[in-house]
Amino acid sequence: MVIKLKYMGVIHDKMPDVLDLEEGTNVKTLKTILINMSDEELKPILSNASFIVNNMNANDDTVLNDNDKVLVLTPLGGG
Amino acid sequence: MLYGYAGKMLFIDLTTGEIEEKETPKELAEDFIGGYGFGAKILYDMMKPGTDPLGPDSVLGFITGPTSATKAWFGGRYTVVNKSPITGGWNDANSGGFFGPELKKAGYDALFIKGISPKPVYIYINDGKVEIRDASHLWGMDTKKVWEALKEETNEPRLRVSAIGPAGERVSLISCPINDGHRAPARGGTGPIMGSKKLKAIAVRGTQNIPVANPEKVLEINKKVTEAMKQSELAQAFGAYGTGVGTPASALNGDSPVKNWGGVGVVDFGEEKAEKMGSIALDRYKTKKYNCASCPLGCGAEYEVNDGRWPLGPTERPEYETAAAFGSTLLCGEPDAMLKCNEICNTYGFDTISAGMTIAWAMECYERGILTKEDLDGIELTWGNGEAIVNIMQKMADGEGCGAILCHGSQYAAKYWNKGEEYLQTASGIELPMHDPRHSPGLARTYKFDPTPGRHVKGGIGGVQMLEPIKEENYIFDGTGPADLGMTLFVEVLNASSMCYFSTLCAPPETVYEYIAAITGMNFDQETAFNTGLRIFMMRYAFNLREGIKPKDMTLTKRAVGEPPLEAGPLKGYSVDVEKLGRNFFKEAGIDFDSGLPDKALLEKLGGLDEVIKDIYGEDK
Ligand code: SF4
Repeated sequence: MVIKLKYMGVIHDKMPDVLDLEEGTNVKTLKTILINMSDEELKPILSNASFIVNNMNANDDTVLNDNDKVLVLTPLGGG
Repeated sequence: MLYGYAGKMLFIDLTTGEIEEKETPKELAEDFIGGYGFGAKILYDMMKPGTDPLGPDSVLGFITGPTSATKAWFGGRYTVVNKSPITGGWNDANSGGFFGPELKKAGYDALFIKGISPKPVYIYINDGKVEIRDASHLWGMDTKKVWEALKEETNEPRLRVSAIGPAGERVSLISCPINDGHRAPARGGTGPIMGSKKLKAIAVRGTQNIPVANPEKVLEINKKVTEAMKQSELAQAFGAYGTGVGTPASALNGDSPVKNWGGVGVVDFGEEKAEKMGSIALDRYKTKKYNCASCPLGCGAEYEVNDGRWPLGPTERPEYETAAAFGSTLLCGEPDAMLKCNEICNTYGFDTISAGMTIAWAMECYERGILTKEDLDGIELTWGNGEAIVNIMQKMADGEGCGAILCHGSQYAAKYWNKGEEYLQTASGIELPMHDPRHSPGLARTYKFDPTPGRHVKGGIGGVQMLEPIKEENYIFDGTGPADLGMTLFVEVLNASSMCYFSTLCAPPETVYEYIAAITGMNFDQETAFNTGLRIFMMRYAFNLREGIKPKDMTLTKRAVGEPPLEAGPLKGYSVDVEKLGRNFFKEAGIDFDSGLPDKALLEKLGGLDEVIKDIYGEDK
């Protein structure tokens, strides 16, 4: 299955916009995949990122489906 | 010698022109550290309950803290304290830049001003020499021009100035002084107090050294903080792009309010607009990084904007709060309009949060037909309309037409027009800041029940939740008291020490206590920190209690707690039991929620609160 990804915050360059994943992949696995493919300095940011799937909040157990749109957001509330 | 302090405080009466210098008492330093700790104690003693905040007996304080004007990283903030003309209760607001350390180097830990001058004046402090000077020629001038004019007039190129602009002169309730061109102790109505006193500015220049008990230790702690900063991704991101780095993510993950707190970021605002308002995109205008005094991080930046509908030339990078207040809150994805509003607020002297939120209220009222085009001087104030937003903001700045009403904030405007009250988004009348308690539930308690209501920089569990993804366990409201109180008291000490809140992004909490101990020579362990934090909290709380404000009287509008819950987006279905969070917190703090009375034995144990005990429990304790 194919999911679309969009990043906000300091996670941008070099991360994939589209990923082909196995059926039944959940957000936790997606996070691990992204962390593994990211630069060293992005890893802690990704591990603390919010994932929003099709405009709804997702937690680690949320199972992804074909064509899902995933927003990866750095939780950087401040100021 | 009082290590960590200039050792003197100034008391100025603008009615009589009297200037009095007093020693900073050792007990005051030990019991209340500085900042609003000093402020709450001194205003409690100097002001009677029921004092008109805009009258001659109202006292306004500008206060530094022990870390200010030392080598301690992040130690450069100062705090303004006053009785809020909006809530009728306690108010404090702090600001970075260089003004605070300069005041301290000029010889004073704090400055308290009462009275009303018959004509516009400014206070000039230069290395222990204090004058009240005529400011008639500065009246009407914007905050940046005043700074330049005063540098020239005093022949002091390194002069630091905290000045109101035309908004404060008009006693606009949401106005504030601005220091260093763009830093502001903005919230809760600081500017109207200066305006009502005809006090245009405070100008300071100082070269004195502050005695530090253990200077080597301070440098050692600095090293630790620098190391921690290098390890912290959050600190790195703030250092590179400022607080605005989080604007797009916050607009979409539910942290930022959207459409006057009634909308959903991913649905109503969208990724494209969100991204445009963040500082990663806006930093195309960056010309220079900006660090406040003694700050190793530097979340600020200077901009040069020469394109768009409002080519401003030199200006400053807007802070996250400003970008959200003039962005997602108004559904506005037009960065040039937001930058223009930021510049208007900095030059005329407005609290950007309250200004943006007041426009958000007016927009919703306009959409619903509550406010008409006639009410708004012919402006079609539709959602996201950057041009209309700038027009309204300019009217507020000029105090012209509907702007003369809106410049006093949303609560005032709703009362004036006698309509739209149900669309206010406020805590005890103060426009809410840009972090949504439906995303970080602990903030509901701080917004509603902190003695300085409607603030996002008062610690508590919400301060931590704000930095995390949404977690189910944050919506369980049992047993929150101990953590909520602990994290609040830590921030009481941090704020009183004059350190920047953003130090917490990289420095572990005990760093603040270590700095205070090294600078003042006091023994400042965890227990001292807890008791001092609680004493400061009690002092602010007692100021409100004496005005008749109890927890039960404090208000928070309903959207902020998910009543009713949002029907879409990441926060769909969430609501916050703020009453329970409040009860948990006050119980832990030793305050009875229903009667509002703090526990007498606890007050006695904390010490330094004799006047409070006398006022609550009578003369013979
Ligand atoms: S982190 Fe930002 S606000 Fe805080 S002291 Fe540094 S530059 Fe100033």
